[in-house]
Amino acid sequence: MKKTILKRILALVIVFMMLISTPFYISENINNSPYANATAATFTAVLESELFLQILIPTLISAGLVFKSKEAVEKVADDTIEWLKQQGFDWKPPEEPNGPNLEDVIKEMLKAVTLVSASYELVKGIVKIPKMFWDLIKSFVDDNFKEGDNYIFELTPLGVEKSFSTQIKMNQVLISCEYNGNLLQIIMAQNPDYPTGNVSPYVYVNGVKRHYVDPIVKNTSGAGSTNIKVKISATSNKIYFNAQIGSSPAGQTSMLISDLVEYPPIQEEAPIYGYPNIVDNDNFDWNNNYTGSKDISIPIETDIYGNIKTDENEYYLPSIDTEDWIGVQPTEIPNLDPSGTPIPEIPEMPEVENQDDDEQTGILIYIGNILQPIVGQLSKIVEGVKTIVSTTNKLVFNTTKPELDPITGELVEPAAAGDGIIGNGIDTRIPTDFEWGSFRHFLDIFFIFIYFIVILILIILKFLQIVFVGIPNIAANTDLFAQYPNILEGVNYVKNLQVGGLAITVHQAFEFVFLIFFYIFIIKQIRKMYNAHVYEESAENPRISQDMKMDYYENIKNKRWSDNK
Amino acid sequence: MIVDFFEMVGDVLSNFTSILSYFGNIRTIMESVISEIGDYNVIGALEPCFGTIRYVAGDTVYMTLARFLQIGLFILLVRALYELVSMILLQLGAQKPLSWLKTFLNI
Repeated sequence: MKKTILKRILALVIVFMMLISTPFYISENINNSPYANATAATFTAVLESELFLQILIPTLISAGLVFKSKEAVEKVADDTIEWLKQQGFDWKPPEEPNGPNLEDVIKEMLKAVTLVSASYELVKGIVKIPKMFWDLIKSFVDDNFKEGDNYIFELTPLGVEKSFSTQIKMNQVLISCEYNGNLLQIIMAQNPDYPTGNVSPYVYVNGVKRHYVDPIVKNTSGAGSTNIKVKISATSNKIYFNAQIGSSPAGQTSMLISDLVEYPPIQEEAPIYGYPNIVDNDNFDWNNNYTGSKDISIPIETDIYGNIKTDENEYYLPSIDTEDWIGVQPTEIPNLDPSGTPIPEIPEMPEVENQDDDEQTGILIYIGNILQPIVGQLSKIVEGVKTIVSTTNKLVFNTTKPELDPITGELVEPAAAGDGIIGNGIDTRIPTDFEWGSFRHFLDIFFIFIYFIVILILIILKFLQIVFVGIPNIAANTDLFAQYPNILEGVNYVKNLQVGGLAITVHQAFEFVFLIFFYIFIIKQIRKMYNAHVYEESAENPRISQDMKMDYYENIKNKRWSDNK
Repeated sequence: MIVDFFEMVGDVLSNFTSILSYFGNIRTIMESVISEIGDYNVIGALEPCFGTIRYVAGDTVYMTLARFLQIGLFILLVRALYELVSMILLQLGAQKPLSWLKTFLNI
């Protein structure tokens, strides 16, 4: 008795340990804590964190940009971060001089990421975009991008020295050429930072001002005697803009003040598209359609046990990649679902391929092959029963299909058998001016029971088909590891490990040990069945069964008692 | 109150035909289940799980288990059929000839 209790307690403990060591409870493990335990990081480190990058990109998109390549996303994000750095940590909007500075706002935004998860498969971080940050990003986009196609250029001064002398005027086109269908120009224009005095040669692409060439020429009137040389040259993969501007002081032939600006080749397709009515629209504003505020939800990376991953500064690590934002429209950002409910991906049902006949050997496969046509035949019988039943229905209850006129589409009345008047004007026609009860549905109740039994039989046959034909034909695959390639590598590594000192792998050792234990289990089952069989046989004759009982004295006692009786 | 009750009974009786027609709908659904049960691709649904088990455990273990499952099912099937046949035969043997006629005629 005590042993039984001990066994039960032990079994319960084992079951409990199995339960807690399985990932069933993961979904409860996610704490929806409103604040990450972010450590104090420098402003630069914060701006360079992956979380900030993945918040910045959708914010840029919401401000009206559509990216068409990964390079474009990275370039614009880098430019924005550099620009934010130039603004300084203590930057404050002019209308709120007593408010928090830029550093505090961005740090608070990253720390106040709320985690949401409906299941352990997906954790989402909800980021509230502060108004100050949004205004900054919007102004950056408005200043640097226009509606329609926008091109990006890498600018690398090379410092080539040349001298040239000419007269220039304001808005004078210094050079103009075509490259890959794009119009490239260098035009003398006013520097917007110095509207009163300075003139610079600007690079224009398709009529849009892109960049001015340093340094600024000191020229108060916007026209006058200035030495200048400009050049656009293209190699196989680069375009060079060269502008040299200088004055001719007395005694000197020229003065070098020029850069050679290097541009990557202009792509056929513009990498950034400015969304109409958003870019350069000061009144544009948006809110998340689910929450009513500027919330952006991004998926957060977790390990296979559902634990949330963080970076070195304890900021949550987004599981979304920069590439995922390519092609996202500004109108999609307000529709980002803040719930952590994963969208199920239903894979297509793969077709079961028939293996070659050579592999279908053995008596059981043979039986399976016999069973398969039987299943087919039984299905046909069921179909036949259905047909007979419906035919009988028609015969007995006259529920024929209504015939429709193919031209008018109206119901065709069955041909009347005479006028129905017999004898001395007796009307034998069935009156149709009131509804007759539709009692034929009574029979449906019985059919439901019959069909229920038929369905059960078909399910059993289907099960037999699966066991005898389907399961042995399933080829080995790694579908379940598709999401976890690291685990697959681990499995392969362990399987192919060599058992120390032996010329076998861990997998072969596993097979060997498994089969030994399995056969022991089978032998025990057979022995149990044999014992039960022997007992049943002997139970038919009470006399013999009494003799075979283990408790000899009990038998003797019973015998004496029955003899005395 | 009593009047209400009779009205309710009257309502049920008047809707009796439509209530019965629901059984017709269920019957149609079950007929469609019967015709579609053979088309359902169970193996396709099982393939990722069983294929991965086969990959991890190896062909030997997988096929041994599959074959034993088949043997077990085969034994069960044969035993069930044997019992069914013996039940029928025993019943037939225990009954006297034309006993069904006596039962029917109640004599």
